[in-house]
Amino acid sequence: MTQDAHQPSAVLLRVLRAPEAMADLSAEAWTDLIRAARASALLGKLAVLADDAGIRDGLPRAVRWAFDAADLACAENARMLRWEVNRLGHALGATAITPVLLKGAAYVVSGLQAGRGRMASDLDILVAKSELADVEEAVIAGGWRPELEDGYDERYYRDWMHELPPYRHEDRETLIDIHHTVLPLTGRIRPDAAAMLADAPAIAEHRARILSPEDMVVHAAVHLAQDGDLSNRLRDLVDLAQLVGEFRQSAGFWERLSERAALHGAGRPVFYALTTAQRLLGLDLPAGLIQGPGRTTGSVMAALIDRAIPPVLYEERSLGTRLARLALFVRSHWLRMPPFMLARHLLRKALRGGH
Amino acid sequence: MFHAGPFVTRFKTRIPRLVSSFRSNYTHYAIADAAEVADFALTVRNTGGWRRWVRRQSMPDVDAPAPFVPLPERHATIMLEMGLNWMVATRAMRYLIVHAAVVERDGRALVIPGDSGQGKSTLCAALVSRGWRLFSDEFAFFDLENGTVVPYPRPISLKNESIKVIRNFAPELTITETLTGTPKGTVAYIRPEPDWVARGEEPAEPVAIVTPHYEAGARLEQTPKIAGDLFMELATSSVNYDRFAARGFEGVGKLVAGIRGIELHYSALDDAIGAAEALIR
Repeated sequence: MTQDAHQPSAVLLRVLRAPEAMADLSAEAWTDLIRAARASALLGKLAVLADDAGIRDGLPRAVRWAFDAADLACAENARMLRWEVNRLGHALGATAITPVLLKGAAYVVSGLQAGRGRMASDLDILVAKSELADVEEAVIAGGWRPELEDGYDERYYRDWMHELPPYRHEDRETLIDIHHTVLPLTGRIRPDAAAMLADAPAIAEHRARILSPEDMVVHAAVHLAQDGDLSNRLRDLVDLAQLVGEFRQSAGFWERLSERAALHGAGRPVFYALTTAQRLLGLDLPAGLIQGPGRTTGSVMAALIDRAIPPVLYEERSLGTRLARLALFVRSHWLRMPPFMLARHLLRKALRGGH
Repeated sequence: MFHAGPFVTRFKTRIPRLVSSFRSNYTHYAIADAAEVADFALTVRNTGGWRRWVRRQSMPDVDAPAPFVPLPERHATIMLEMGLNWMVATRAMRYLIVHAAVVERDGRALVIPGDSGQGKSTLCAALVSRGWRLFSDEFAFFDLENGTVVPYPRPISLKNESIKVIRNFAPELTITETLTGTPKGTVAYIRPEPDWVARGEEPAEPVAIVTPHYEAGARLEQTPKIAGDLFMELATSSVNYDRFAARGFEGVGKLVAGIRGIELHYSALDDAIGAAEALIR
């Protein structure tokens, strides 16, 4: 690792790998660890890890209060997500559609390890492309309204993306993202959404499904590779590591993951995601699992990723960090769109300001 | 690092003007031990880019996306106070937090909710100049476990007309700085007295809720409120009621059962203070 072991994000990685290390931190290290955990949306996760390690009660007073606050926020968020799933099911009414929950909402509502201490601001769902019109009609009848800045955004979503424009509920102000595949239509990697939907199991007590374990890991991996938003990368990596940690308990998981990654054309992103989790979070991987890239490409990518993901606080961001982030941001878009389309899109965004 | 009420704050800045403003407003605060973990860690720094050289601006860094707009460096004190208030409102979940001023006398606390412009801080400043102890001019911390209200003394902020009103009514309070031309008009800060700060961990029993309505020329008028209205008032002006779910519902229910509530219309501060004193007897 290129970082100073005392930097807050290095301490964060250390306690994510070995939560019992939380028992021996200085007060100053704690203050900055809490900042780093907040900045990466991992405070609730640390609280859960401290619980599981049996060390929570012995932690300093301010840490216990911060963890209790994170528990409350996560519990409120989980209530909100469950209620949104309930309302969506209600809105879908007599249709035969059972949406597949994606990402945070899936982890929280289905009770996976990755969902403990995890917040999710929106409900992301996947439905078949043929169901889109019915779903859209149902959510509008249920009180959600499309939220768009301008006509360009609308076209961007409809023509190029893998999801509809976001819908916001007019009373509850909650957001729902309706996907018909898990990656942009314009991208180089085109996962087989039909296969994902076909194999998605239902969950108890809700009119909803989740992806199969292997597809969930593939999705988490391609999301890490292609999402231009780097702010929650470390949290997403922790999700992936926890999903793998839970699913590997079942026999044949690694073989199925390999096959599934190949089916979706996602061998490379799965390789990068798993090896990154191995380097940064100590995820234990079986040898020779998935074929990676050549050695040079592999080590360049590793260097970029390790530089870009962990530094989460203002004072930790060097020029190198910013360049690595820029490189990965451009790469994420490169994977999403052909070059001409990418240039046009980035120009448009730049002229409008912000990204 | 300093203590305010039950919380430890670590504040960092390199803006010289803000260092001296902080020293002046927080003169009486106990410096926290380096072996304590901070509940709130806040840095106020200059924004980057060309603004580093011309018309410098300041921003609070709270380690997360937050709804702040940078202000000129000469208004950096506002960035400190707003940054801290934002952290308290969004992160401190040990207590049920209601947007209200709180003052105390003889172990009995008076809670003064109200949006800005209704005279919450003015009435609060007037009361603390007449022997009441400042708990907070911004947040009431209710401990749901035992029904007490917990102090959180910080500088009182006054706006526009109320600055002159308090200067005349209570010249013994120390107004440390007056900032003109801010997005909220003129803002002034009152330095907390040593006694308020030193007794920052001494809770009190909440006995009354007074919703102030200042109106020029109005006669003193007090309208009692029923418990149901008080419940709604506390729940809707709370920043974290929803988080507590059933515990919040039960806690607020218990609180309002033991509290008197009035709507207070007044124009003369002395009348309002008299009414407050009668309420806690």
